Amino acid sequence: MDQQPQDPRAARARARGLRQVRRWSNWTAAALIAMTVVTTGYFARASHSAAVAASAAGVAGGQPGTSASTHQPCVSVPVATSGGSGVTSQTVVRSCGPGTGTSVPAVITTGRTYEGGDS
Amino acid sequence: MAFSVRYTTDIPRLNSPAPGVPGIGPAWSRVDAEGIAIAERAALGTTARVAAWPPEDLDLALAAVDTELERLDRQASRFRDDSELSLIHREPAPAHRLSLGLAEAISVALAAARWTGGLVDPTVGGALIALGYDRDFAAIGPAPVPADRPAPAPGWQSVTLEGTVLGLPAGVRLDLGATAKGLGSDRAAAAAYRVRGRGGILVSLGGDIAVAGQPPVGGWPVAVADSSDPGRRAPDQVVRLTTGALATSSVTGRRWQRDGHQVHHIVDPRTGWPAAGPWRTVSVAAASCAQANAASTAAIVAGHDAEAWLAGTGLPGRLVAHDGAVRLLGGWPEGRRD
Repeated sequence: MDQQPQDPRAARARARGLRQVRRWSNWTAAALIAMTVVTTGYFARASHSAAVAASAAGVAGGQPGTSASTHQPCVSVPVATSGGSGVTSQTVVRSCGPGTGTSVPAVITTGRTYEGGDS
Repeated sequence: MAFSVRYTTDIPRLNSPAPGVPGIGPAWSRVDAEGIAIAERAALGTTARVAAWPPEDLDLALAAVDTELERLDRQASRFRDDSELSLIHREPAPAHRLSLGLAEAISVALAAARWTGGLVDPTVGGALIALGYDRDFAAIGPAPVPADRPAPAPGWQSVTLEGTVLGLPAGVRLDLGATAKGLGSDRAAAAAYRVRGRGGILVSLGGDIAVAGQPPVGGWPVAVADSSDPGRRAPDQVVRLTTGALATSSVTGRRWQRDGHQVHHIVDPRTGWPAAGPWRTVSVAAASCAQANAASTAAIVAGHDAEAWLAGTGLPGRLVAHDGAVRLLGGWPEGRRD
């Protein structure tokens, strides 16, 4: 089959056009990625705000949820006590970090027999 | 009416106090468990406890908490002669220029008074003194009956605060007890989280608890107790706090003898005498500890109207009557007694 000889100027112009299209395409992709990140962040914040608004303070029953991140510890025993003129000493603490499968009991003793506050 | 107050965020910092500074007790005792660290010390006449994850850099958080507690003590303590509040009480003047921190503490107290319709009122200071609560609680002992009989509080409306300028009528004594400890927990939790910038923080001041950052899985486990009496202090329930704050007010602790009668520290501003309603302990969860503290105290004072008042706020609450009956409001979780 006969091929027509290519005009060198036309070939250069074509190559320039292709490079420009590729650049636009790259910029468009980068912009799309950035917008996706921003939008995801916004909705993550919005959903967090909505969750906070739904409950003025997040307070739930005593069993931990099952959705653990890889970083959050799993704490199974109270770390503090709210009890009026609150006693907060001598609380046994045991945590169960994801993947550890063990628990370590620990006791804080301050030596104070009465711990009170104005509340 | 909403509880509306914006905390001041740019207050000049004090240096972190050394152990033994008045109002701040000996150094922190600390324990590390898997994934979290907990430290505790005496402060502000009560116990301060901090729980944090990750456990690294806990010292940064404790230094931030120390700074906030020391600052609050210097600003708002009724029991320190050198506190800013004591200086104001001693200095008769139509107007006082306040530090930003004390202005914030008083604005929170006035906001709480407005929000509760006066069920909590910072002008009960005179009534508390007349009841004998004129010094740190640990120092209250057998003493002559004060000459003044408790009287209705002058009323929070008599106090003006414009920016940092306080107008206080002669003879009016402020007591910020219904909100200051909660404010301290809020400030300390925010400061401790800010200085670390990761993980999560819980700060408890005598059981008034605020959290910041990300909680452990499922939330911070917190025991809710009905009494501070060491002999009866088994927690009634364990709840998990993911955001905001939790405070408990109770008439079972902080009791003393006055003229042969036992009195307690939650004063009804309408009478000047200790509140005498049907509820002995009220716990409330709210967006801030100052608000939770105000709500739990207001519910004790409200007496037979407590359920209606607290239900109107929409806040989760747990009320324990003198006969032990428990009433849960606003989505407070059901829970077993441990």
